[in-house]
Amino acid sequence: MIEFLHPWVFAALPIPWLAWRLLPPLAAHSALPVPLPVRQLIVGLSTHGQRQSRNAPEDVWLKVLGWLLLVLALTGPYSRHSALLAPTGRDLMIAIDLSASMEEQDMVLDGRGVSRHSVVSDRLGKFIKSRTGDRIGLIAYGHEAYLVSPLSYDLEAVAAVLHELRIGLSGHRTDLGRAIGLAIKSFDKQQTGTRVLVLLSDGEDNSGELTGPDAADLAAARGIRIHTIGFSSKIEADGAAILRTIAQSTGGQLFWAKSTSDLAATSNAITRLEPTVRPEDEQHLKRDWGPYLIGAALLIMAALVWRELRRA
Amino acid sequence: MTFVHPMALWLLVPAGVLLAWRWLGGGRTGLRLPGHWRRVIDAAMRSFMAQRVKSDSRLPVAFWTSLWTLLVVGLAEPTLDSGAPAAYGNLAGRVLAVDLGAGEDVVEQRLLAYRILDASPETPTALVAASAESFDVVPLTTDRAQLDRYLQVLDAELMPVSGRAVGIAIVHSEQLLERAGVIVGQTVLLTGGLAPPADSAKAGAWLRALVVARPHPPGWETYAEHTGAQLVNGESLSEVLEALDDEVADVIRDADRSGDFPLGYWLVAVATVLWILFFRRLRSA
Repeated sequence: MIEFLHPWVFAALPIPWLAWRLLPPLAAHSALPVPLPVRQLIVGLSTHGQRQSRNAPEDVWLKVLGWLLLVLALTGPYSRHSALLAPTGRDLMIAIDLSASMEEQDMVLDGRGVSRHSVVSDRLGKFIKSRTGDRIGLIAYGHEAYLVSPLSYDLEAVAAVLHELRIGLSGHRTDLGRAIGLAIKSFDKQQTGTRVLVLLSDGEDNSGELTGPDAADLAAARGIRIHTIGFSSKIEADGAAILRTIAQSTGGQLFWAKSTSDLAATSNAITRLEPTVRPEDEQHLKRDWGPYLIGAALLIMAALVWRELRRA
Repeated sequence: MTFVHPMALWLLVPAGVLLAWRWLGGGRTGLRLPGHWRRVIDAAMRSFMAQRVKSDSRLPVAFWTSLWTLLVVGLAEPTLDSGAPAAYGNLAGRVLAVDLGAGEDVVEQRLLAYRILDASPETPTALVAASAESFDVVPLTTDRAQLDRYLQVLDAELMPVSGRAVGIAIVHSEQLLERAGVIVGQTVLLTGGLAPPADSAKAGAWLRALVVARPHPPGWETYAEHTGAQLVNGESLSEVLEALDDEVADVIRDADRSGDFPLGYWLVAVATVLWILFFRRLRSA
């Protein structure tokens, strides 16, 4: 669909008619209150005597067509093509807990009892796909931590990787320190503006030498913000305290999600904290039709020149 | 200042030629009086008339030339640059598809992949492993460590299915580019062995390159032509890189000029105002 950058220029369309109707006719050799070269220029367009033929109907139509093309070119006509992905400048790493406790069937999704992991896979998949403009990476952690998807703008691919993750892939215990440490390493390889880690866990930090809060201090020193999500129907005080400490020490927030709807609400809350590119701000590759119109006007002018030369 | 369409400036040549012709030969115009006037008018009078005609004819030429020049330069779109263009996340993407069913030396294929990655570290690159089926290994990323990690372990033994389907590998790689919303994408298939028969992977919208060891068996040229792919070897990898870079440069040039000052627009605006003079009534003398 053709759109116009300056549609108000269309208001100029009747100017030739107005000039013809309203301006007093110029005497071919009258002294005009304009500089001599301009006056001579206008006199040169005189229609008197031999030049009467310049107002032949074909000439008039060509001139009118040329005017229409030029006015249309000035309105800035363009059509939209591929969407340009304007980066937010944010790298967002999501660390998913794949420890054995995520297999517990204490959640409900579409009216069915499902495991925590199934809900995470469904809701976070949607969250990932909504993060237009962010580079998203994915860490799967348990006792070990793996970068299962590097930072990428291909959100569909990252979401696809999330759906392929299985419980136990990275051990059955929970090592928050290792997950944060791997995120720090991944961020360090690629310098960008904002670096955010979303750490999802359902349990305590019960494994590893580097504790979650200690790793969070390292992250804070590197300017990495960590939002923690406690995802469990049963909130345990110790686990909550650790996740809160991690979030607070890095300038992030702690979210508790006890149900599927809570997790969806958490995703929305994170989106408010870390906004993405709004659909209305989306930019597109544009095809500018102006040059084609100017080219056509040049062709018309060439035709007028040709007719003029034939008359000379 | 840069020109978006510098080639358009060649259109100034006819205007220059016309101007030179009219100014240099314009004096003779008046001598070409119509009919038999030349015979009945005195030579001195003819010279006077020629001067009148010449002076009269020069004026429109100045007008035409000015108008033409304004439009041509406007068409060339001179702009005052505002600095580096905006960086978009999906401008470019390259898929390295490793054909593990070709029976080629996988170490050699890895080295070729490393060379491509070394030469274009800023280009988001994805990794696809291909045999009879194709599999996404790494999504589009500039995380070189992750690409290296998976390249190191790629091997025909790891593939869940054996066999070979070059066309499927190309189509799969391009689906990845499509899904990621990449604007200028390229599939580089590291392959070899016997050339496959023509398949469904006909030339499409994306850039394609087949990297085959030299001397390659006969049939690869035909297959490259069928798929619209560049056929290169390890020594001519730069052609593959340049193909993507050139297209990206074109898109960057057109993608975002919102911060630039478009001088061309104002030249066309002046030309449009001049065009009004065509419609001015002139009283007969």
